[in-house]
Amino acid sequence: MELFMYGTATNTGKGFFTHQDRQDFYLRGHPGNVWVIGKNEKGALWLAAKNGVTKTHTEAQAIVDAEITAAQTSWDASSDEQKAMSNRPGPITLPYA
Amino acid sequence: MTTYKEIFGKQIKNLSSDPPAAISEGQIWYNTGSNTFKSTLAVAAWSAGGNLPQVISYNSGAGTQTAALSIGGQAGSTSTVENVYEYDGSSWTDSSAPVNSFYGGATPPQSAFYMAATGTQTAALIVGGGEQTNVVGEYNGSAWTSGGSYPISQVSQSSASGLQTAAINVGGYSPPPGYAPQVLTYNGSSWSVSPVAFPTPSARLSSAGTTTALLVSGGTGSPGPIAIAQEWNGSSWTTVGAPSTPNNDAKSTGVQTLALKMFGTTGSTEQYNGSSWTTAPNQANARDWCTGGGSNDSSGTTGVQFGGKIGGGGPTFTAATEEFTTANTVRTLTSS
Repeated sequence: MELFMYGTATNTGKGFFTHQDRQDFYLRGHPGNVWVIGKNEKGALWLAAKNGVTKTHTEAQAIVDAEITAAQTSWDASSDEQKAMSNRPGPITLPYA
Repeated sequence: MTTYKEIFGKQIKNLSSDPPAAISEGQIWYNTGSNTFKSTLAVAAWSAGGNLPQVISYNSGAGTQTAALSIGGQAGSTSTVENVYEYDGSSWTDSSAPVNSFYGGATPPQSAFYMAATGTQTAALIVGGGEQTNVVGEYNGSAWTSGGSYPISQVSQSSASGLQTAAINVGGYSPPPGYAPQVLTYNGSSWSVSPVAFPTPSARLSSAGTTTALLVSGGTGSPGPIAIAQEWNGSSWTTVGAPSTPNNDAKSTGVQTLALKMFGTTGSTEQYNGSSWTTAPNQANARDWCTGGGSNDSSGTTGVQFGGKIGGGGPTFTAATEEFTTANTVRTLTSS
């Protein structure tokens, strides 16, 4: 049984996910407005209620990878002073199970 | 078989409907409608708060979950934020009191980020920041004024706790050798340097408490991330149990005996009860630079995080806000 589902949704702020949502299903945000969501009825209803778009793991991972690649390019082009402020963005592997 | 009544002296009540969660914490009953045993538990979790008006990282935070401040920061790798935003527990508004004047006056001119901040929404204090400065700024809810002269030439990414009129400032980056060992206290007009140094000089550390009962943990020093936590009693340091991971970029809130540590790169959360750490639920958004964007609540049961770079080492500046609360929740009891 798959444990996660994937989608994109824009965080609209207060109430976007609630205290109860966090008890009902796994939820983790990633670059590109990608959300990894616990695969149960309440998780699916949450994504639908947020006008989210369901993605496959591959599609979601590609969105995150594109965000990171763009950020790495930006970081590489920044000054040494700016580079000293943060590490070069590293890869993020979305959980798959 | 031992019965519930034999253990507790009374039977479990049969109820046709669940009692209000707000008044039934710790109670257990049998719901005759669903034919299930139920109980009300206090459950902690992070939920979404109002988004900041713009994406920000490297900001500083003060105040509480329902009356917080986000001070300065950066909106991208090159764009600086001079705004000070006020949070009411639901939404952020611009204070119309930008903080850049202090940093424009620094030599050389610098940006308002990497400050340490503490105090309340209407009586906040910022220390240092920029690449490195000796800025001390006081906010009264509507305007900034210069505070008492900071006794060290430069500091950034230090940690501050307490009130505007009774604050303590520990660690941070300073001129070579690089990490500030000083422990400084502020009385609202002048600073005092403690003769007792901070034993693990570091930056990007987190603290919670007061000038005489402080908890400091994490940070990055030489040669790297610091795992231990230490308590300060006003005159000496004691090493205490360490949180589970030696993460820097965390923000602590609460007091020495009930603190909440909100980590950055993993989104994890831990609570300290004065002697040991326990794991609390994760944030939904793991984010870098939690050191700055967080509140200074008076207990370790509430907190708010805002801004940072999402993804835990990820690239994207975020406006996301999350609130940590504990709420009574009715749960169905199962054997598993």
